[in-house]
Amino acid sequence: MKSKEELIQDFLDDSLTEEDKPLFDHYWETDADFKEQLELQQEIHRALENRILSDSEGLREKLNEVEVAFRSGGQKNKPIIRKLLPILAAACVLIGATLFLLPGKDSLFELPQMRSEIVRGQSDTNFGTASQRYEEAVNAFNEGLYTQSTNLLRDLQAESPEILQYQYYLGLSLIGEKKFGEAENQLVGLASGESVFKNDSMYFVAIALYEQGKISEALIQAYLIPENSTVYPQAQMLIKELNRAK
Amino acid sequence: MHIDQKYIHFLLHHDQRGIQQIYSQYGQKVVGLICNNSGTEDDGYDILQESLVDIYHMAKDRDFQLTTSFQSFLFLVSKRKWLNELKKRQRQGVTNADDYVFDIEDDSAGELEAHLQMVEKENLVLEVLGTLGERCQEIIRRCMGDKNQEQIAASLGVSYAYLRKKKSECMASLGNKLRLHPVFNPDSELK
Repeated sequence: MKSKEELIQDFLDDSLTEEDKPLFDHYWETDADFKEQLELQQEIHRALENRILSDSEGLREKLNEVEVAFRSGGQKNKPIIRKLLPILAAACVLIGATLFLLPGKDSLFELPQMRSEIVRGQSDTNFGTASQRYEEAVNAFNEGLYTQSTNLLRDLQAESPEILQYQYYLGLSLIGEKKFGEAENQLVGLASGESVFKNDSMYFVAIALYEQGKISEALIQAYLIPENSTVYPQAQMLIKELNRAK
Repeated sequence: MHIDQKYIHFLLHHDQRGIQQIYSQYGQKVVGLICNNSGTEDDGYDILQESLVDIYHMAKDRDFQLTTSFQSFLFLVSKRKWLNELKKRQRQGVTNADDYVFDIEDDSAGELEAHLQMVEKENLVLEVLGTLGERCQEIIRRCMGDKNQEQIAASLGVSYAYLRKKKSECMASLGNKLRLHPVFNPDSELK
């Protein structure tokens, strides 16, 4: 036999069977608590249907967006000079960057600082040793001791050829040693690959080619560097330099 | 129909520009109202948003007509919500709601009282639903949102008979909790 609660839900869901109707009617007529429960459940059903089927989440998203904008728009009452100050500051930074940070001719051939960081992928057994040697290579490279950094990076590359960071910095270290042909060989694979070193490698391949007198090939490499690359401004300066050298 | 009915329209249609108008015209006032009655700025914005959602739910009823200014109505809804919140915090021992008197006259909601009470009850039902077990919440939400309970039973991996039984138990549990609340039972006292 169904419970009172089940009969109430069946009634509210319009699924009360013919078999259960007499029992439902009996409770309705004789049991005040049953009636009270039914009326309460009717209210609950109405409330749940109104809310669960409503699109208040869509409204909340809009309210949240408007609130964020409203709360952050507190600048509207500030004096105009205070509103303009951030713009003026940004303009000064931009002018400063233009005057001081865009590459001059000498900086075209400057090597970047080698990053001191843990190299991923190193096996656990060699980790400590390789990490130490990498740090030694970083120190030597950044101090301009390119012969030393080249030797360290060659060993590291031989042990872990899959770590492209070794290959990249070895290429740069060879440029530092003025071994431009070898540097080109190290970097050309990275320049045509898809790693994070791609664009920077293209730039230094162009440098290595220029230093070997291969101006036209250097120009091709420089032209291929995409606009969204961090070395694009340098590449444009290099192209001007290369066109002068032709 | 009151001229401010347009604000109701903005809420019903999630009109971004209209909602921006509501915030720029009334936002600071509502937040100020709450802050002047022991709330924080965050409390103020929460109450403002919840009040606007409540007005939205009221407005979905075809019988709803704004008979006073939108500002007056929004203040009324916000004040009632904040008072309920203070009472809740009082029960939690956070504050003493009786110490706080709103500095705005408690104008009778008049014809809108029924809508206000309906929304307050709906809010309470959802709040108490959230205190049930996860399974009960899921069954109730799905059964209310979809009339095909045989499909719901299949997707939950249970029989239709089991689903019906479980649903009735969950709804009874929800009902028993709500019966203890003064909003549904004026004779009861919240502890």
